[in-house]
Amino acid sequence: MIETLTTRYTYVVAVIVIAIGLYVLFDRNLIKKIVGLNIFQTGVFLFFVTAGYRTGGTPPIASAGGGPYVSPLPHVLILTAIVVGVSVTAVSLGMVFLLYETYGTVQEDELREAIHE
Amino acid sequence: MSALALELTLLGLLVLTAALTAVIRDVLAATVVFAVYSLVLSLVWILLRAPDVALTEAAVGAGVVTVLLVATIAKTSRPTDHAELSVRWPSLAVIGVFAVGIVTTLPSLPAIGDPTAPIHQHLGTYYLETAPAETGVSNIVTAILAAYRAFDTFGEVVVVFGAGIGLLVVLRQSGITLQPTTGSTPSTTDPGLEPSTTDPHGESSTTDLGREPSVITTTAIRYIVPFVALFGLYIAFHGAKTAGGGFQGGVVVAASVVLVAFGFGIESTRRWLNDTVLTAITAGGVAAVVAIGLGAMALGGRFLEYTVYPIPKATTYGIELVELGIGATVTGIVLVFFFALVGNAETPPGESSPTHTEESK
Amino acid sequence: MALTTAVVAGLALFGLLFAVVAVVGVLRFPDLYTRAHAVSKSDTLGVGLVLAAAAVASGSVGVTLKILFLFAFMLVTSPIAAHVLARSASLDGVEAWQVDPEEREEREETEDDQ
Repeated sequence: MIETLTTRYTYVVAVIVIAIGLYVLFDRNLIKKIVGLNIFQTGVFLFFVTAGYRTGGTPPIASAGGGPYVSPLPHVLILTAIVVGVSVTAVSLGMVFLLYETYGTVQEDELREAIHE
Repeated sequence: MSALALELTLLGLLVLTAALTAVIRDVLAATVVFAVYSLVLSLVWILLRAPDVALTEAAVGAGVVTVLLVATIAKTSRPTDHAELSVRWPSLAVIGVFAVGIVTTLPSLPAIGDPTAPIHQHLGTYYLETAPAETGVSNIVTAILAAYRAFDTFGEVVVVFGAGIGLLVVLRQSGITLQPTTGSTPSTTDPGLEPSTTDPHGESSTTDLGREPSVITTTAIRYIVPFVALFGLYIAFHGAKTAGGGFQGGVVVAASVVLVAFGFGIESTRRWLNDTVLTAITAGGVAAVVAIGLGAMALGGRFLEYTVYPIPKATTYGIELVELGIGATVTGIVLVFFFALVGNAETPPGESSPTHTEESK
Repeated sequence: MALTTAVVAGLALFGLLFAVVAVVGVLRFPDLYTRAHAVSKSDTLGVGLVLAAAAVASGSVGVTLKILFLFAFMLVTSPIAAHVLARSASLDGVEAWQVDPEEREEREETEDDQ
């Protein structure tokens, strides 16, 4: 299996980044959770764009080189996904700010106590 | 061989910065390392021959997200500012199991870059071969985004628009609107600040927190901002020919306005770019895309079917206009994010300064 | 073409050297003002040299022209960014690092002895 993984090392890196993003999502601090969400998303993007890669390929622009192009479909999907990701981040940060104004903390455990009072 | 070394170095740096973001306890330092991670990721995108994605990642990830995160940290709390690293071993064990589990499924995928992989066979080759001729646009990613999959892009424009509205609705609960604080005396009570200057009309010409704008900064920004805005418009317009497009161009134009806000103060910038202009830009972008779509239906075609318009090169112009609409909406919404989260530099109740740190328990 | 490769490699290495100097400065200097000083000077030069390497490596006039614009932009914005940092810190009341007076006396005594 190690030999097959050497031709798929970028996928392995993508999985590692996803795992790290998941780890940061488990943090106590709400803002770090949002950073972790972003890292998680970028790991998924890395996976997708790597799937579209082609050895010896050129960027999918017809005016640049004419050789075999990398697949443009993952690029399109990821462009949309990045913008949606930043929208989610912005609204989440607004909610974090609202939570801080109401309860005075951004740590998850303190927040839990404060809500149960 | 050197390409492989470059690739491995960048991927290694990617994992390193992501891991550092995970173990640093201080949330502000973690955010800064996240910005570095985002920049390294942009380089990785270039290496994977994805220039559009690289542009978007650099503009959005290292730009907008970092500014919003730092603004939120400034206005909430920063539980610790010690440069400590800590690892939560139970969480690490869980994600380790998760990662190993997924990695064992990887050999079932085709090798990276394999030309015989299914992704290069069916629909991809159709787009690559017919898109330039059929749509008149060289950037195949833009052609797919704005023509073949235009409905998805329309949905995404609506999502961005909805996120801006959602953020305003959420923040309205705590009394924050887009209107800047109209008082000229700052809410911070730090006596060490310079007094604000007022001009004869009684309006203060200060930046937030009652500081005079620096002459160096304002002069430099006065000269730089036109070029940055022009570059943003270039990216948006030229996205049909080269890498780029509406999103990236919109974010860069928004960045130029943010530059103005940093130099001259958010209140002055909001006086210049008031609610009417922001609403017009944002809603106008969405309305333009909808109008183009409904116009096609009015002429007997389907929604966003450019070919029914009776002008020559209808698809090319349709793509360009839709990209401009996207750019306008993205500009407006990024500015809404910025002004809503960064503006209103009042200190939250119960603290003495925005940089107050508390010791975590 | 070995000369072009050598020139590109040399310029890039020099740029890297100046960037490393900037990093060392940030790590070793005692307060914000000196660190901002180190970064704005050394980093701008390092980036400029790397951009020059890119210009030579591309070999085309159009790309070189764009890189010249890019360098002019960086030359203007990098020091401005350091200025904004230092000014904000100064207005916030961040104090500059001072030599410890006792250390200075000890050092002057040992210098007099030599």
